[in-house]
Parts: sequence; C-alpha cells; structure tokens
Amino acid sequence: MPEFLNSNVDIETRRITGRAALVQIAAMPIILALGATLVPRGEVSAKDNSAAVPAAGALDSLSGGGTTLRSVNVEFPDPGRLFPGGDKAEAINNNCLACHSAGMVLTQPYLSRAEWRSEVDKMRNIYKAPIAAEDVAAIVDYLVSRRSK
Amino acid sequence: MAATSPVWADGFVDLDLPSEPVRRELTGAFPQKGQMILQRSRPPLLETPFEVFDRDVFTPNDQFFVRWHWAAIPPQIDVATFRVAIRGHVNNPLSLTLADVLAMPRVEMAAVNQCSGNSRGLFQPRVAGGQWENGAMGNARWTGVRLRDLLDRAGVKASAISVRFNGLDEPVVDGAPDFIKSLDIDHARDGEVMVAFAMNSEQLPLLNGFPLRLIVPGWYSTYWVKTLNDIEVLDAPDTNYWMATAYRIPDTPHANVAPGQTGFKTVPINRMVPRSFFTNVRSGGTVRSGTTVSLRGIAFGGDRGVAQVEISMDQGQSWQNTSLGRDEGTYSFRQWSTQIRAPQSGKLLLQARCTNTQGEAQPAKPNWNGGGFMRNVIESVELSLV
Repeated sequence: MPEFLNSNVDIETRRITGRAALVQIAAMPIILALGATLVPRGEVSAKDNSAAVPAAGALDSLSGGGTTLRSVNVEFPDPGRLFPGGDKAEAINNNCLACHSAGMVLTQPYLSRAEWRSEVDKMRNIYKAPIAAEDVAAIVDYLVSRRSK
Repeated sequence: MAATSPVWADGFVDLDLPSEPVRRELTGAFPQKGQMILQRSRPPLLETPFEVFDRDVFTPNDQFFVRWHWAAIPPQIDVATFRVAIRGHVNNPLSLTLADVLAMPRVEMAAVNQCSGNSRGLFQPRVAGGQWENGAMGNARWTGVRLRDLLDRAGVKASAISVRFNGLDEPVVDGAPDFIKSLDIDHARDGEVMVAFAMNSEQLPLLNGFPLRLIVPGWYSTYWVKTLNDIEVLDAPDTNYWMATAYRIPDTPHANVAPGQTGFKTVPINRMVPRSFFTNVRSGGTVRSGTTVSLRGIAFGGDRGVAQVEISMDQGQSWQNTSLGRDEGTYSFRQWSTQIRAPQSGKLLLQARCTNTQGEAQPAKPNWNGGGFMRNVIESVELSLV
C-alpha cells in the first residue's frame, strides 16, 4: 500500500479520510492501471484482468532458438506527489492527477498564460481529460503563478 | 518540500538547461531500471544520466531511457498467453505466440533509439513538453524477426498502403486517442524494420517494451512501438491523431521555422539526423593549461552511418578529424576519440561535428520548432584552464 502523504489514514481499517483522499486515490497507478472506479474504462479492466491471471498451467518462461523469455510482474512506484500550494492547487490536484503525475508540469520552463491555456485546452479537447469547464480558469491561474522566470 | 517529493527519490541532478527549473530527482525506484533522471513518474519519463554514455558504445538496459504516453501500462505480462496479431488487409490473419516468433528466422542489429524531443530542454525560446537534456536516447543490439517476414506470413494484399502498430498501453480516459503509429508499406517491408524480443542479449525491460518492440532503424523512437501486440495492414494512409496531428515537423530544412511563424506545411517526423557528443568532459569542467588532453565521445549518423567526427577549438574556424571506434553497424552509436593540446590561458571552447556517409553534417545553428523536435546542432563544451 503506498504511503499517504497528506490525509488521515486509519491504520486498522486503512480507510482514508480528508479532502485529499480522492487525490491520493487518483495518484495510485495500480488502481488506474486496472481501470477502477475513478475513471472507469471497461477495456482496460478486461485486458488487465486477462493479463493478471495466468491461464491454468501457464509457464513462467518459454524458450526458442536459444532465447528464453520470462513472464514479468512488476509494481510501479507510487507517484506520491501533489501539486504544492494548498487551496490554490485544489483544482489542478482534483482534475489532472488521474492521467499524469505532477513532475513534468512543475519542470516546465516559463510559459505565457496563452501557452498554459493552450496546454489545458489540449488536455481537455484532445486527451479527453474530464476537467469541468468552471475549473479551467483556476488551473491556468495556478500554472501561471507557478511558472519560472 | 517533503510533502511534494516522491518518497523514493535518491538525490538530485542539475541539468544543463538554459533557464530554470533545472533540478531533477534521481531515482532507482522503477522496476528493472537502475538509477535514472526522473522527468515524470506517471506515465514514466526517465532520462539516462549522461555519464552512462562514456562507459560503452551500448547503453545498458537498466539505464536505457523510458518514455510512455498513457498511464495504463500492464504491470504483468505472461509469456504463455501473450499474442501479437497481424491483421487487416492480409490474406491470412494471424495471432502469433511468443513461441511462434522465437521459432522464426532471426536478425540482429545495433541501432540508436532516440526520442523525437531529445534535447527539447535546450531549445531557445523554450517550448512546452518533456524537458529532456540529451539523455532521451540509447544504443542497443536488438534481436528479433524481420517485420517483412511477419507480414509475408500473413500475406499482404496488393491494396496495402500502410501498416499500423499498437501496444498494450492504453489511455486512462474514455475517448482519448490510443497511442498508435504507422509506416508506409514499403518501409514496413524493407527488411530492416524488425520486431525485437531481445535487447543487448536479454529480454527487454517492461518499461522498454517487453515482450516485443518495433525497431525502426534510423527513425525516431515515436515509431518504435512498445509492448507491440497488434500489427494492422491498412489500405489507406493512416489518419489517426498520432500521425495526422501529433509528432509533426515543419517540412523545411532541419525542421526549422522562426518562433511565431505559421502557415508552413508539416509532415510526420521521420528519419533521424547526425549528432555527436563529448562524453568525458562537460561544460564547467577544468583542464590543465598546456597539457595534452584526451577527448572522447559518441556519434551517430541518423539514418546513415558515421563518416567522420571532427572537433574544433576555434569556434568552428578549423576542424580536426578524430579516430573512430569499432563500426557496430550503420544505425549504431560510434565512439570517437582524439587528443588535443590545451592552450596556456583563457577558456577552451570545444565543438564536435558528425558528418554521415551521405555527406550530411550537423548544422552550426540550432533549429527551432514548436514541438522541440530534431535538435542536432553542433555541440559545444566550455572548459576552464587551470
């Protein structure tokens, strides 16, 4: 279970409380890789289930022509990072972490307000980010306020 | 800022970018990977620390760069149940097991895999996107089967125009464009494009495309589809988003336009161009004045072999040839080395220039385009004399 950084976790029940809980869940790659509740995606779920449960009697490796390939089962690290800034970061944390972690956004060079607006529009219109129209301004404001000089 | 850093960061590195922010975390937390520069954790963007390129002409699998577009990457792959489909405009659609693939005639080739946006962080004016320094590239010896053999086995119909490739990664949200890429049918059947199951004699790390990856020698990495499980022959040019809208470059020399320029024709990014790098000296380093200094590095010719690598100590007024290392093949990195006499005082500005076997040399001026693609300007390193 990934470490939760900014919300209350009951050690006994592992229930998460607090406003950041949804965000933490959004940041959990395994849940999203399985296409679970936050952003349902039936195809991903079906595909990953089939990959996750090897057929009865399946081999862990197979060989041919002197090459052996072994099945893999890995765990990706918890991206574990929120956009800093408290309330000002609420919109970006709630809308953006489902698809990608914060790191690359926070390492962008100086970009104008128009460039940031165009990035957010691209995420909504092309990459189908489920960002409510009323949250766009707050996200762009946050990105502009964070930018490097 | 503990609350905003991944708990698994190992340390930091400052990239040599023209403006802030330049600091990146170093991490060894990703499966099957060693220490990498963290550009993004999810979906992963991991850059190779540049000192790795000084150690060997081949880049180790566990430090080979990583770039994914969508976060739904299967963490588990069973070699017994994995299948790759060959379908579409073929006479005999196939669903091959890995055992089927391993039983076919195999080929081996050294080839550089480089992100279209490698070095994007060095663009001026700066552009949005992954802010790589120069480590979104690597060289490996790939083993696999010819794509042509796979296509012939399925029997490509005469109406075929292009071939589209898809992997197991998928968008996180409904309706978003799955990452798929295409090649013209003649390119797909050229006998060099291959489907690899081994990288430097080992199976690929999952994050580099296990169990199968498309290898498109001399072309940018965007075509090298990872976890390849679907090969679809089309009877028309592919108009999907990742060909028709994304990864487009200006149809101009060096894909170069002026910042703010509009109205130019674009084409899908395609072949790579020559590059060369110093690997044993970095800007900000020092050398002893008046001494003999050994210099070495790597070069590649893009879609051709390396003809020569030259260095200049006078800002490109004159160039001296270097010795090339062993030729590992047309599409491989090639090591180069030489010795110079350091001047007595001042600064030492060194430049390296690769010319490929087609006579194409690195340009003296950097290109610019809004995507931050295809940088290949002559590299410079400034050293202080002590």
